[in-house]
Amino acid sequence: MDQFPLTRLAPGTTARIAGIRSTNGTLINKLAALGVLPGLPLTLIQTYPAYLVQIGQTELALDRETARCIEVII
Amino acid sequence: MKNRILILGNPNVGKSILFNRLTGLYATVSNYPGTTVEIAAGQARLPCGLVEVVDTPGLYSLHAITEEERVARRYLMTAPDGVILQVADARNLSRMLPLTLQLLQARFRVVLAVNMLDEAAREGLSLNLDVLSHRLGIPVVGTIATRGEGLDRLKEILFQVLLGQISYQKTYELRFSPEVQADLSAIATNLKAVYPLPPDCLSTLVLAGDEEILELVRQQESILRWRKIKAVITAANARYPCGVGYQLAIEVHAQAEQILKGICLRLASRTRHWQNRLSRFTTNPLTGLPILLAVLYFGLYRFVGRFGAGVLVDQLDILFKNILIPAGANLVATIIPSPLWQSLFVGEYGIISLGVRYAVAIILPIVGCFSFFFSLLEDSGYLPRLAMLTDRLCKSLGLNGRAIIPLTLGLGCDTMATLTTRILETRRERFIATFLLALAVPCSAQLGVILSLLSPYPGAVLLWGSVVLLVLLLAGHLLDRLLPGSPPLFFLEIPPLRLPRLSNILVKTFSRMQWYFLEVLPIFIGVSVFIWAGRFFGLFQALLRLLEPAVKALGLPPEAAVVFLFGFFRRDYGAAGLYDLAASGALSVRNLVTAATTLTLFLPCIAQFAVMWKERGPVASLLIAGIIILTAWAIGFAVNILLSLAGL
Ligand SMILES: Nc1nc2c(ncn2[C@@H]2O[C@H](COP(=O)(O)OP(=O)(O)OP(=O)(O)O)[C@@H](O)[C@H]2O)c(=O)[nH]1
Ligand SMILES: [Mg+2]
Repeated sequence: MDQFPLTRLAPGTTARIAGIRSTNGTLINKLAALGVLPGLPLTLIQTYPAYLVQIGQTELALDRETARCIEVII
Repeated sequence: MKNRILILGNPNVGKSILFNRLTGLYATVSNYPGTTVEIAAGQARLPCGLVEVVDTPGLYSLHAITEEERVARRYLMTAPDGVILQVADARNLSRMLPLTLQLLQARFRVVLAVNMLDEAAREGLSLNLDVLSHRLGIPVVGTIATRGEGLDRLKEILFQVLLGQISYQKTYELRFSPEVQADLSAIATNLKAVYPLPPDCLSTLVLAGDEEILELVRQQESILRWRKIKAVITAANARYPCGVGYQLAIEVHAQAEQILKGICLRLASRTRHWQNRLSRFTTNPLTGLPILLAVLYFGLYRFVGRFGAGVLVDQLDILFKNILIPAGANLVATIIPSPLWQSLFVGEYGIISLGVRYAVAIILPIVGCFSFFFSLLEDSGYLPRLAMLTDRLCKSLGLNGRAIIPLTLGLGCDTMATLTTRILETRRERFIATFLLALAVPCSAQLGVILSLLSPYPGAVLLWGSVVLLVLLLAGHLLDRLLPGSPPLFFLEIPPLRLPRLSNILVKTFSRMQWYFLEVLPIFIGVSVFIWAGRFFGLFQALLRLLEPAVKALGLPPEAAVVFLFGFFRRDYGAAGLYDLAASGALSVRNLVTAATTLTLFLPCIAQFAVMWKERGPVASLLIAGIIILTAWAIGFAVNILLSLAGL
């Protein structure tokens, strides 16, 4: 039950958000405002050309670098 | 002013549409986050009389990060009295409520409008708003802004709040974990100056590391206090793996969830709608790319280029040339005997024969068609999906996918688009986007004229398009290389696909046409007057002679100098001049492509320059202008040579 980056999740699966791993404070705060918060279920919809995830009723598009910062747990 | 309603809330939740409903004005409504980037004010007629209503850009939380969020928050801080109408998306309440709690912490009188109840219902979501109102201690009204549902009740409640008939004594209080609470108190004791927000709210923003607020505090407090505050923040950040800002967000969100417990009931998880399925088609590159090409071909080329700039412009121009201008000439001749003064109105460059004709017969139909087509795109929610598809491409220009919104907006009007660069996160990105808009994004008027001029030769369209696109890519790539700073990150909320409402499309198209028309007409008329006076004093001819060598070097006939002189005033004016020149048969295909390319890359219009000046400052603006003149000419020169080498 270890946490791993979102980029290693298979498309179509749902996991729980564990946290954000980044040193970029602005990015962390922005993602928090968009609802990327620990414990919430997240579904990965697609990965190319950008990552598309669904959290609650919100769909978020992220690039690979940002997606890598989001840690999930199954 | 006490009687003021400030509309606030997350992006894309329906603030502007509610503003329009309340005031009867039209603030742009589109289906993507970041439509509104400026404050708009109007008046609503409530039973207590006229009340000022203000629409603001979207704000995810009081902790403002992007420029447009700061615009909203600055306004909030300068207008602490009055009532706040927070608009929220009913489908995402747990993401909207943290802002409500922050506003309550700052002691604002908040009315919460839970909007988009129709979409929530369609997703099988049922909300008990009375309980929510009770728990928050503030009025909560359910609305469907698109249909005007819930509006009467909303007005009634706003009116009661303004009159002080609803009390805000017992609203919800934010509470934090002991560690965070200790930090907040430590910061609050060191905030001695007077601030536009109450101390507890301010210390939360300080602890979260809000840059603008930190700067304010640094200026206001003594060095000693500032150091103490910094020490608290540093210690707190070290305590949490993601920093204390994230911890604050987690704690506020947890309280929002607590409040919402039992309030949102999911009646049934409905089957997926057409919106969802279509949405996947647009975001998947295999289907998304063909869809994009189809949109460009049918929307831009067929509708705006062939129909708008071709059929409509031709008909209107015939109307002007055969009926209106001769009639005007007769009329002027009977009123003004002097041929010199007559020529001011109906001469070769006269106000009616040039200024009004360009504005009405050439620019207006094109801008109208483009606005119509673009409004469809905006309202469907296609733009954020396009941003996602093109993120990788944008990255090579030093931008992120989000920049596709201002860049495509620029195809409508570069001036508005330059303002919209506010939705980009860093100054670096805002500079690059502003530069590219000024250099290589033709506005609808220009685009339309050029498409219609070149459309008899599909090869020419392709060539012109490729050269401009190549310049755009190269310029972006160079800027990315040259400018200091880190590569951008991309994250964007993707709104659901929505069926565009015809009423909004028409009103938006009309208001854009009106805006454009009122902006260009005075300039076009001014140019006519300027040329008329300049001809009288020989200045016009002198300027043309000055330009002629540059024009000749592009392989163009000397008459084309006029077009470039026009281009100095507005790029689209130059394009309109090109239309006349081509109609007289003075241009070969090679000339057309060269002139079209050079003019597309040429200086932005005066209005765009003014916005650039305001947003990016004089140094950047002058620098951009200088580079653009040189680049435009150099590329034109190269295109001409290449084409003549190819034997055209
Ligand atoms: N179905 C439905 N759609 C709505 C409702 N209210 C707003 N919309 C749509 O939501 C989109 C956003 O509306 P806007 O008024 O532009 O939202 P905004 O909050 O001003 O957005 P920003 O200016 O970007 O922050 C538009 O496409 C509206 O048509 C509603 O009650 N029901
Ligand atoms: Mg708006």
